Amino acid sequence: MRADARVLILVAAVAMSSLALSAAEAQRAAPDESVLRARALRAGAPVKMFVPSGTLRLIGWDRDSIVVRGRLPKSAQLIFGGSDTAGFKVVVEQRDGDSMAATRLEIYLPRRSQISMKTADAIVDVTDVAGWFYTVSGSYHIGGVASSVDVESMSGDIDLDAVTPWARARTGKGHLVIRGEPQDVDASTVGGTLDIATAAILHGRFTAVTGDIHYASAMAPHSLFEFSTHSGAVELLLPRDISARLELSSVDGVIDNGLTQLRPAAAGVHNLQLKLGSGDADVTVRTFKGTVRLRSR
Amino acid sequence: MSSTEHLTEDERQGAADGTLGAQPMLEAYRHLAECESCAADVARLRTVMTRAREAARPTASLDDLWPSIRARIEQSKLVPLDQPVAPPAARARRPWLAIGSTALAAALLIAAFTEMQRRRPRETVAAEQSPDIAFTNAADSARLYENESRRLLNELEMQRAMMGPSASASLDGDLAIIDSSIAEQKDALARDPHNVALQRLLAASYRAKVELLERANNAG
Repeated sequence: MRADARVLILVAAVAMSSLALSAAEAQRAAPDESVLRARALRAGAPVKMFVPSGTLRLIGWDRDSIVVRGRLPKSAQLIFGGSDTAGFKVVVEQRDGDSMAATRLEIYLPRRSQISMKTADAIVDVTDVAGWFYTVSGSYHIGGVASSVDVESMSGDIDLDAVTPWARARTGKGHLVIRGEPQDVDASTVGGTLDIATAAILHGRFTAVTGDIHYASAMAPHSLFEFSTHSGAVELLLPRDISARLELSSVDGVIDNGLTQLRPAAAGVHNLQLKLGSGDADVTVRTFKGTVRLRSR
Repeated sequence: MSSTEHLTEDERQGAADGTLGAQPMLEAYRHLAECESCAADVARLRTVMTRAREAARPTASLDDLWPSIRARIEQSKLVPLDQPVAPPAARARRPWLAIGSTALAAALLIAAFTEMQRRRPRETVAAEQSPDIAFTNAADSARLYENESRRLLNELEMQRAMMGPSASASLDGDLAIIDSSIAEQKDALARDPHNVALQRLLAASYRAKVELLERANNAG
């Protein structure tokens, strides 16, 4: 009898532990949870967001409400609340140190909301909202119309493709692209490439340390541009009929003029001054040892 | 205001110069007792305000200062400043006055022209001084950015523990790149100490460093 009891206890223990294991496994393998939350929110209210990882879409709309929908990993928790005056918060909280990469969210909010958004490595697509956007190594694509855009990343990519009167974009080794219709732009990278492809800029300051800067567009009349790098190349691809005054200088780098055969106003190995057309735009390029290239489009 | 939220900019300014109302001031002081970050900021603001109050008033009159101000404007202007326009002269009432004043004007014109001819070399020297002003401005910028980067670096050391490993690695890599470019530019400046373009590049590098450290401070 004693031996039978022992066998029974052993069988029961094995059964219990296998049940517990399968329950835990089932919880881990459970599908992501779908989320749908909505609240009234006045236009212009401040909204703070922290979503560490995953894929996000922020969309400005003409309604006085905020809607969050999508899917979250089982282990994540969505904190959603606040008020018009104190500001609204949308936070995805990580639990148990699990990965949040499976987060998929679409957030609709009033067009004139002032966003303050932070991510670790999320991929974010923003349309028609203004504010401050930050990521450590994630990426941002910012489009639509916005009153101002301030986007920063330690090492991620930034694609600024918005219509905005004021934009500031900074990254470390990420790729930074400026297009759309920004008017006043201050953009910089440390080692990342900076590409500018828009003729809408009226005042642009573009800097990099070791990264290259490429500008490929016409220049608006009376616009003002400053390009500066340490060792990165600065390449300006300009239309043949451009009207601009160019002042290019490099301490140790080479200046390669493939744009015009016109006799420069002043020239040396490391500096070149040109007046093209009636000289409407004003362009200054400075590098320490990066090559400066002028090309025609 | 709750103890977990930081003071707003207005509250910090008000706490620093004592213009907050009694109740908000009490709440602000309660918060400052618990929050090192706000307390440090308010202390900094107080120091700035004290310095501003203690700063000596300029002894020179505006007229004395104007030539140097104008020289700085001339250095960076896009369109030449208009010369001051003299008020229109009163209409001549007597013919002898008109003849006399015309003769006087002619004499003054001749004298002015002669003086201009005589002074021409000196004006060239004055024009050559403008790069000095540009150099001073660029050196001032570089110094300001350098001081700010040092302050941010100190602040960052305290926040390093909260920074993720990828952000920390990215920061270290970028700082090394910027510091190496600053070192190269400083070497070049030591060989060519009056090079304005170099001084501007150095200021740009320090600015890049400040911006990087500001970004890193947000990563925690």
